[in-house]
Amino acid sequence: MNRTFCVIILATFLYLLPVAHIHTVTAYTLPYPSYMPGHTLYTPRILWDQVMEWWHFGSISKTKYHLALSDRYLVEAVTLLEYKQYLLAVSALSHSNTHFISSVLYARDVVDEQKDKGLQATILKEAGKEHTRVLTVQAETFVENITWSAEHEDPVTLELPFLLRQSLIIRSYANTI
Amino acid sequence: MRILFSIYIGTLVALVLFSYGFVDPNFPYRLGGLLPAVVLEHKYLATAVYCVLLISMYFSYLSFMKKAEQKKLSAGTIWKLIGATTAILIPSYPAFSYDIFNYIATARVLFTYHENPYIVMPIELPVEPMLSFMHAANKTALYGISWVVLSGIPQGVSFGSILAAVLAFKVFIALFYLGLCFLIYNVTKKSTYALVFFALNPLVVIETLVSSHNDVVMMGFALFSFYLLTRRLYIGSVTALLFSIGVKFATGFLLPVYGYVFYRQVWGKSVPYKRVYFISALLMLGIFLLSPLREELYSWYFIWPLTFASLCSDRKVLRNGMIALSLGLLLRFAPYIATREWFGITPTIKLMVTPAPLALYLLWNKVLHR
Repeated sequence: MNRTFCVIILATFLYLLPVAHIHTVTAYTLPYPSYMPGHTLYTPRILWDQVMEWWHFGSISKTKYHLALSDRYLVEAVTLLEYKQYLLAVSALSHSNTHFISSVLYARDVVDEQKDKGLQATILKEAGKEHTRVLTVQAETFVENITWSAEHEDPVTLELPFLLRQSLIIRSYANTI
Repeated sequence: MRILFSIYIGTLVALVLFSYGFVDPNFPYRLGGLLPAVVLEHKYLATAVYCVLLISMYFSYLSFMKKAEQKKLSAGTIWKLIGATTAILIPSYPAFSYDIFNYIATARVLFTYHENPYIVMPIELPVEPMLSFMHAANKTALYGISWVVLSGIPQGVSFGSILAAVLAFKVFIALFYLGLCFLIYNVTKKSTYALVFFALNPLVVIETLVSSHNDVVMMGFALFSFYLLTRRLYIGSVTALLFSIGVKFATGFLLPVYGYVFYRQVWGKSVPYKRVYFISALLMLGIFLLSPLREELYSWYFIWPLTFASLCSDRKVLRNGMIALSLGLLLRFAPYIATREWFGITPTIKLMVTPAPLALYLLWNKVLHR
């Protein structure tokens, strides 16, 4: 009886013992915000990106290229959300998703071509984790659709929660490489 | 004369053997047998051998220069010497620099793995077997697009073999060396003195035919552009100059001189070519002396001013000063052989030995003309 009581007390104590939350610290760092829509150099920057797509040939180069753009557009989307520019933010987030998918596909090519020993896949997984962390914060903030009313235009419903969930699912594709 | 030739050829053969004492332990082929271990074991002896080889090469070089000045050396003999130098040194191991392996790795990144070498570093291709003995694997391509494209030729004929690639690159660069010598010979209106000054200079010979640096490629195109300019072949000339700049960028600093010559040619004015080549030599010398701002004073960069200095080799102080400085630059490798590291006391010794021959020459010149 005493032994059983001690075991129960010990078990209860261990159960209630505060456990340190382990924050997963990824080594991956997102870039600083770049030019935002409306800046003079925003459009030239997009044109330059298109030229750079040609310059980045090869599966490893293309993986890096699309991942870099995905990072940039994600940071742009988050910044725009902070400034309540929801329509532009949705566009930026969509671009980020497209580039992330492209990055995953090219990373698979790298594996198929046996060019590296999983280096690009590892980087992409780390990037996916960091993107997921950032997107999760946004998903917790934006839980309802937003009606965007631009001047002299019909209101548009922005399904931000859906887009954020979609973005999170896309980031999980990095784990399939 | 026969004794001189024997000394020279013997020195070259000894240099080839000595070069195999520096085979990287990670190189996939066991070249040189026990020689690398011996050179590593007896560092001071190896340093002494290196210095003796340099002295022998410079003795031969200055003797050839004197005979060429006295017109005792025919063009045919000089070309045979150049041919023999090239043939003997091509099989040498690139002992004093790892740049040739960077050339090969960059070429492999592009032509084997089909990746952009300006974006993908060799270290990002861990399946690449050359990584174990490369020294700049964590850098993207260090050279211009012209060189990267050109390197496809030797890379293509190597068929994936690293040993064949080393040989192919050496032959490729040697061909540019011969081409540059031929250009110098023609531009100086078949001056044997100018030819000997450049072609048999120990710094040019070692850094081109042993270490296989691509500076002769850059200077070859640069000089070819000036040559085409004298023939009023403007499109070819501009193309050659752009190609040269696309190898290593240094010849971009010749643009003002080139522009001046181009302008005078197009407008039918006379061009003082001797002065143009002298100023080009000074410009290249200036860029060479500024190179420590970027990284370090590398001895093979001295090929840049030497090329143009050979075109005005009648300027005695410039000529002799450059010969003295070239010796000092080659001596920079000696402390590394003695210590087998680039840090510690090595930088201090390098700093001391580099200007020493030039300082001695200038002092001797001052004493002589007092």
